[in-house]
Amino acid sequence: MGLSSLTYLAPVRRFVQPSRRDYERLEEALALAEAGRGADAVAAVLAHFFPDRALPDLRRHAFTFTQGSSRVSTRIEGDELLVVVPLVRLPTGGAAIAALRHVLTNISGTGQLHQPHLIGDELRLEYRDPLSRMHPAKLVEVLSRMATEADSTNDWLMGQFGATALERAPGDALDAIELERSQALWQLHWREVEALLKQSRRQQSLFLLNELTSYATQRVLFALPLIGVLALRLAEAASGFNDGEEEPLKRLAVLAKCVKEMKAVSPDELARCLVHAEYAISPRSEGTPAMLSRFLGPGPYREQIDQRRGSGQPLDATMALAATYYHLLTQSTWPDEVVAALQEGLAAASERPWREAATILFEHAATVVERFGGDDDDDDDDAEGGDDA
Amino acid sequence: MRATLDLDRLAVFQVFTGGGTGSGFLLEPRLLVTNCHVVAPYRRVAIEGRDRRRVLGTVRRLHPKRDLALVELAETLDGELLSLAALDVLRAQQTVHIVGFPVGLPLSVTEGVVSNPKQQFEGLEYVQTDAAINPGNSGGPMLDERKQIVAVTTCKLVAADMVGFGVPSSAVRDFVEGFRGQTAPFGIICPSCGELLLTAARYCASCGTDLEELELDAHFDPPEDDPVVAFVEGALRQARVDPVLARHGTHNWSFHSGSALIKVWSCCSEHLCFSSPLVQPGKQQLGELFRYLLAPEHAPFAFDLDDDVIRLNLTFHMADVFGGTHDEAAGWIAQFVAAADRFDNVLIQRFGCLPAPETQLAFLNDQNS
Repeated sequence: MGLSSLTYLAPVRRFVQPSRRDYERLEEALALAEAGRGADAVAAVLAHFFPDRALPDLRRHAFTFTQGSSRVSTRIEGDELLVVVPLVRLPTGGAAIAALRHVLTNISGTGQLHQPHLIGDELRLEYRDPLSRMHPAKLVEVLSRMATEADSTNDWLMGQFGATALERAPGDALDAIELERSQALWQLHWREVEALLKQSRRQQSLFLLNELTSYATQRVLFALPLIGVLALRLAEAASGFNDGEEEPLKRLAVLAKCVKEMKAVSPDELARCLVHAEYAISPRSEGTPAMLSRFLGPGPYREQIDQRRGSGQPLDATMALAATYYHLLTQSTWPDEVVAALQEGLAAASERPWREAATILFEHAATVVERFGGDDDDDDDDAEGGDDA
Repeated sequence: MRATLDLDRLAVFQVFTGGGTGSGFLLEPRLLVTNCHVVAPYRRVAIEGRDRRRVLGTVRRLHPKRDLALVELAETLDGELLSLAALDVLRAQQTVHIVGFPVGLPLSVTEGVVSNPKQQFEGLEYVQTDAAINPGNSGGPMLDERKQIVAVTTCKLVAADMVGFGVPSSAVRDFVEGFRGQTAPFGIICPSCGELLLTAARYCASCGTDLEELELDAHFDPPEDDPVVAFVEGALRQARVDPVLARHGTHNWSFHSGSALIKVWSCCSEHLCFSSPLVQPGKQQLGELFRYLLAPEHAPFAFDLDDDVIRLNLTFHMADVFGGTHDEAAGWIAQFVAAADRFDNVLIQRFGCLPAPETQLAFLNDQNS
């Protein structure tokens, strides 16, 4: 028998508001860099990210902060700025070669200012640049991007190759009640996705497949503070089943394999990958009123959902809206009242038949846009290609 | 009589500019025909021979209305010269071959038939064909079965299947013969009256057409390089690399430094990337090799593995391009060019690496990344 409704469970993940940033200090950093005062510009960028923290003399002491499982340290050595994230100590034997190949293939690369370096057996991500070339945009990129990448990299190196952690930030462990709720949520989620997968195969609807694959990842990431190898395995699978350019049958097969693997995860394994991690720099973008209007407001997407809602496809409409709600909650940070409103919508539609759930979410989305939406702030040009050969 | 197409011998070459790549063919040892839209607004372009050697081409004539251009090569390139077909020889359903460099790939040929030998399109006569035409084919020859040029490939309809167009050989002949009777180093054919325009002027002296309205002024006075182009090409000059010969489309460059191929491109509007595919790992000493590649001593350069090819990379933030440290950055680029030539030998001799296969597809991947 097919699934007749979606169930909403309150998240175990903590919704922490991103730390305040001082944009005046960023402007000051730019002026300082242009005046050739590189070291002062570095301090001003750090003050932009961490306005409430006292900064040490970077020539004497490193400034450190925690980003998930990684500790990022910034200091000045001679005439150079150095940002370092210790990753792992290499394993012994053949696994070391595999780990190094992984690092060279997936972590080194073009289009990034930071690079992995190996010192002895210790691997670290590093950015080094003369102070004379200091520009705030570079340091902002390094602090944001390198720290986030390090957070996922060390988990993969430890989980896949048996590397050992260096200066790993532990984060807050979940308490017994949170762990129990997480186990229940995990099992419920993958049972639901499995049932919806069968439904998607029967319907052969690309629309439903797109919404289901989004739901499969976003709901987990919304609800659980997932880190480590499980988060990476899910991300790896999602890059396959969310790939809109791939054949639908292949995407379904990747999702089916993922569901099977995730259902088989033991409670202990899941518990090892659940931590309330601290992110000094939010890895999520800041949600805007315009974003809410684009996703939930009037437009072609909402029309498609309405058309399905009114033509006997309420499952498709519900999945689209639920996946969009989870996507918004997962990918961006929002004011508390927006987070609460989006969760209220999901809770109202929970365990209601598809037709009813679709109507509840459809109407709820309109009220969210009315209360919190705004004008477009980001016009995209979808220019058509020319016809020259 | 059907002639054999020996692609390696045909004098059909790839044309490179700072705006893209296209195709062209030699009518004389140093006179290349291509499309106006392939070369304009550049006055100096690069033409690549089959041995990957690039020679400088100077644009001599542009015919914007018929989308034709004539380029004089600084040196000759080996290849079998092609000739223009006689007038009115084409018939519907006659087989034709499109020869060129689709999407930047090595020389390729597609086959089709003439759908209409005298198709009227936007007030001009074209040879219409159903043969596959792709970006990069522009300016290449459309050949009949006797290997004669019946048209110059110019465009296709994107909203339709298998509707491509070529400028008929009669228009090419008129354009080339007109050029042979002229001595001016550069000129543009007035789109309205067909007179040769030698200098930038608002109105055509012969027919009074408003030339600025047709945006022909840019052909006489090409726009200034943007800061990224100025930065890269200035640094390449310092590294003794001719930037015109290195151009490989918008914000893309490629050239050889000794045995090493070096590619340059801007990505995500935030970074400027220099990369040189050097070698493939051998089967021995992998642990030592990988440790060497990840050593911090190589900074600011870094190695990575891309499809099992070891690349040497250097990445700049655009702040370096727009900031005031050009000379220092240019120094790094010169060091990178020298290092790329050195490292492939080091990796082969010290770690038993194998030379990397060179492929145009890798360049396309870089451009799209």
